[in-house]
Amino acid sequence: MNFLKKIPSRDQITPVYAVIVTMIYSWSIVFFFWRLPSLLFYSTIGEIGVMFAYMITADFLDSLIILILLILLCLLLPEKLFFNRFSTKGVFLSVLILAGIFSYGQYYRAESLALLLQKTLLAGLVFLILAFLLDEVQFVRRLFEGIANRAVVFLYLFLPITALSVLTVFLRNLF
Amino acid sequence: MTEITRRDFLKSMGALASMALLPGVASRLGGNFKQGTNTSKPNIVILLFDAMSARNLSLYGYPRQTSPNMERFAERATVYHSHISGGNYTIPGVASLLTGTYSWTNRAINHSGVMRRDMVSHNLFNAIGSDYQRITFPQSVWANFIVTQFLNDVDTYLPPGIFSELDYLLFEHFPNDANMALRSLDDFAFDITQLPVSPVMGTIQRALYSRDSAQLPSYGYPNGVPHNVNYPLRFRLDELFAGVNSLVKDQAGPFISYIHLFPPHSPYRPTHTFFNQFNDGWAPVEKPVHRFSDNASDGKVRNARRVYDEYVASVDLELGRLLDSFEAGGVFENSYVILTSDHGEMFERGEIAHSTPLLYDPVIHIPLLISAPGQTTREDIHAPTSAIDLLPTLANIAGQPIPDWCEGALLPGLGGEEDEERSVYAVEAKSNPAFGPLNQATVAMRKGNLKLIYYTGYEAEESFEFYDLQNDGEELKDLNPDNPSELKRMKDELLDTLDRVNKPYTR
Repeated sequence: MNFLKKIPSRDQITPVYAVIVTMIYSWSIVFFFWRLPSLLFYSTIGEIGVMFAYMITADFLDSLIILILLILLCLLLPEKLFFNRFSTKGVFLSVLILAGIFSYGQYYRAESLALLLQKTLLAGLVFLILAFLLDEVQFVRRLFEGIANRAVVFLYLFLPITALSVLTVFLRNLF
Repeated sequence: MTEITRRDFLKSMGALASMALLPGVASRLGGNFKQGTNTSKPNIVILLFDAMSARNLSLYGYPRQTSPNMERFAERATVYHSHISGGNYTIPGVASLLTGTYSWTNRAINHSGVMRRDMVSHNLFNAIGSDYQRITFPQSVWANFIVTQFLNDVDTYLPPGIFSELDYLLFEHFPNDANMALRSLDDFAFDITQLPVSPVMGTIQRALYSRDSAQLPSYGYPNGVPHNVNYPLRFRLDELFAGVNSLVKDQAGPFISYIHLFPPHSPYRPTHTFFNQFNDGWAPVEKPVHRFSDNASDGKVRNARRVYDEYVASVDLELGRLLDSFEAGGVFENSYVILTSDHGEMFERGEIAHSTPLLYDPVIHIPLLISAPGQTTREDIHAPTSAIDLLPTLANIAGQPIPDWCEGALLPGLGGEEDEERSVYAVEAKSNPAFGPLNQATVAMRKGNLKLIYYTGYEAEESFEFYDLQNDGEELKDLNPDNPSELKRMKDELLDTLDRVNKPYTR
């Protein structure tokens, strides 16, 4: 029971998820608009909309993966370490993880899974420590709290788009 | 007793799981093979090799022995010596073959190959009719862009990775929406050639594919196993051909199978049997670098040609084994077996492969050999023929009327006559929107032994090249400046044709 109580509340999760969604969706949407001129070469508006729906569905799953990772971390780590002030530590950690993934994608080189796991664990540990340290700096914490709270507004935009996209993908594959 | 490998087991489990999760997959992956109803009709087996140039086959006079098994097959087939593809890359090549129309009509002219929406039912499988079990195996992912638009007329669709060592293609899991899933996921969100659009799953996919690729044994392939550099797919020639063999031999007739094999498309991966086999000092005729080429150095071009030839020979060896198995299994007795390609490959004038605005013969002259049921002698056809001629010919063979939307003609030797006055075209227009006139394009027009190449939109002035292939098979002497009388006639015809096909798209 205590274990389940370590799941952060919705108020704590929302700003963290908002930051995750804003980063992931923005990343993909930039790519989408970069590709748009070529899509217009051979696709109708409807088809471009369907491609957007698939992309947003993938983004939604991406965002859930990061969020679930953070919640799992919250369950596994001692309460003092992560559960307390989950919203700010979660924001720090998600920003660091996504920045790490984006830069990994940029400098991606084919490598073995073992090496990748080592790098991931090392990066994860560094990110975790950084998140704790940043959380101790009041100015940075407030800055990120402010950003996270403002990012919530994007949820009102992205979540309905996500619902529509997931529905589109489901319907196209059911019938 | 058949030995089941770990990979076979995993594949079976994967297939079972996907069939359980996605009922649509079951029918597409072969769980719903319908029994033939009319065994008097001949079977049709189309074996298409991606990027196989007729100019690099010893069958067509190439000095390197790249295709002894094709030569053997030719002794029981009709050999077409001037067969022209619909374009110089897979999209127009396949679209032309499968629709019997040029790409300026079906509009599959650029990447992703989307057909005109009102023409999607204009395809070979529809023309053949439902008396036939219609099977497709487009191993080339680009061919999938075309074939997945025709799934309403296909009974069994086999995805590219089914006979592969490794594939991470995602669209296969969306059988009801394969074309859009291919374009949205494999070609965009999970594109392995660029930064992952899907940052988390895309990155994980790339890492896993990279890990699995590195672990694949590469024995028998000194340069590594064949793969697609644009999509996550790796395979071995022997396993691929074994899969094709079982696919064809296990069918109850009548059936038509469109088998689009990715080799010998780049990257060229000869087997150890042919690796360095053509390090023979032979050099092709030197040709000037073309102003529209990539300006690759002579050394690079020559080396690429050599490795390509070795890869073609490797493919030919496997083809020989496949044809022997067909022979033993009696496939030739009741089947038309067709060998062809979607486009060629060029290694000259500063250009390597086929991503080029150029339409010289190496990149559009493709092999076509058709063995009719029970045929034991060779027949040679020299008049120009086109990829768009396969559809009407096969419809005719299947006892169906030739569709009125089809632009092709019956192939000589199979109901048609050799016609030296007929014009056939190859079109390169990938820089044009699918919904607009062809403003930047290359068109090659072939009439008898004469060939006209037209470039428009690349420079301030449009330009022409004109060759007499009978006396100048290497296309070295441009007769355009001499302005012979035939040139004007062909120019007028080509420009009239372009005006006609552009008209619906010109405001």
